[in-house]
Amino acid sequence: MKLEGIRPSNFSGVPALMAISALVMILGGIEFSSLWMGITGWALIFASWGVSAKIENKTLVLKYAFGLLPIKLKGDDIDEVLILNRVERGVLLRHFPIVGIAYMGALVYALYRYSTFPENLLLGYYLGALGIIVISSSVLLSMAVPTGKTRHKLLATVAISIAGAFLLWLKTRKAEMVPMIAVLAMITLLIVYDIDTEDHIVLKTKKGKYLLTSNAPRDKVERAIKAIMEVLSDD
Amino acid sequence: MIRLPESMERIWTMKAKGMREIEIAESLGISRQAVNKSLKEAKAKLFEAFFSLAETFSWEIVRVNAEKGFMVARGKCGGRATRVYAFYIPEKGIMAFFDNEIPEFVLQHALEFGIIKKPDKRELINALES
Repeated sequence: MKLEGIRPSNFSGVPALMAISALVMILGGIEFSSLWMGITGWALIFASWGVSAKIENKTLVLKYAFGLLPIKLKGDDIDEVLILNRVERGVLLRHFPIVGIAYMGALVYALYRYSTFPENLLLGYYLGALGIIVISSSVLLSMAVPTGKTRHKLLATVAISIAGAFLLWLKTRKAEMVPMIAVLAMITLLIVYDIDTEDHIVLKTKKGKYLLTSNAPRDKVERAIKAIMEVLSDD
Repeated sequence: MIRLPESMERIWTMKAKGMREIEIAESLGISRQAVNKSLKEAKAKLFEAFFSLAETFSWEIVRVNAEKGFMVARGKCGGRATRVYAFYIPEKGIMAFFDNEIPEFVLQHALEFGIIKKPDKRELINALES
């Protein structure tokens, strides 16, 4: 039985390793101007995304890598089911600190790179580094604050984007980048809004925690939660 | 009243208090496999008990932990939204409490089971709600 509208996240296990490797490859590609590193990184990041979740013989099967990598969670292995957006102080980073470390790594790298850029480069270099700074710091902040505080998170994202625009002005002293910064801010706002408003189902097992996310309507999410409960229950 | 069978409850309680499966097996003079099987059955029974309870009262499940034996749910009481905190208490079964009306013996239970580090109501609610 397929869990409609549910997508496994790449926040733990092999998919998390794939995502972190992808990040290293992408940043390495930028650092060493290597096209193949960049392409491999992007391919890895797409492969790390979960594509579907289904239930087979009292086992929850999470599929990654375009459906080629299944991760099987037996009902017996699961100790806890937590709907993170329903608890009063649900913080994603507390459950998946590795994701925070990855974003922090990207942020530190981009800040270092941005500060060491000379002042006569193509504008794309500054904008690329600034994109990583704005997106990673906004997402990091969003994951560190309890779910449901969407308005605060969006305001923080706007503030970070303004700070980003100021950083860019310090480096280039050109006003023509303002529309690009506005586009970057809009993309970041959408990412932060999406993370904060989707449903997050955390499954705690002996081997670690797994995250399922959904943007589906409430009835589909409820059906999926019920199906997971049936996997866990006694016959 | 939903209760685990006595021997299963003893094994589950020892595990919930932090003992390892091999230690439980040695102290009860049974095999590790028997302990493991008993724990799996206890977890399935607890999940089912908490889910049934939530379904019976039309509570929306927020969190169910079969390892330590507790559930957090959202419910309605007299038309008002409330939080429900349910615990499996050994020798008593499942007991549910609304909002912050958690009695002292539940705090002691949570302390013994390692859910909290000191018997404080606020700390317990923080632990359950994060």
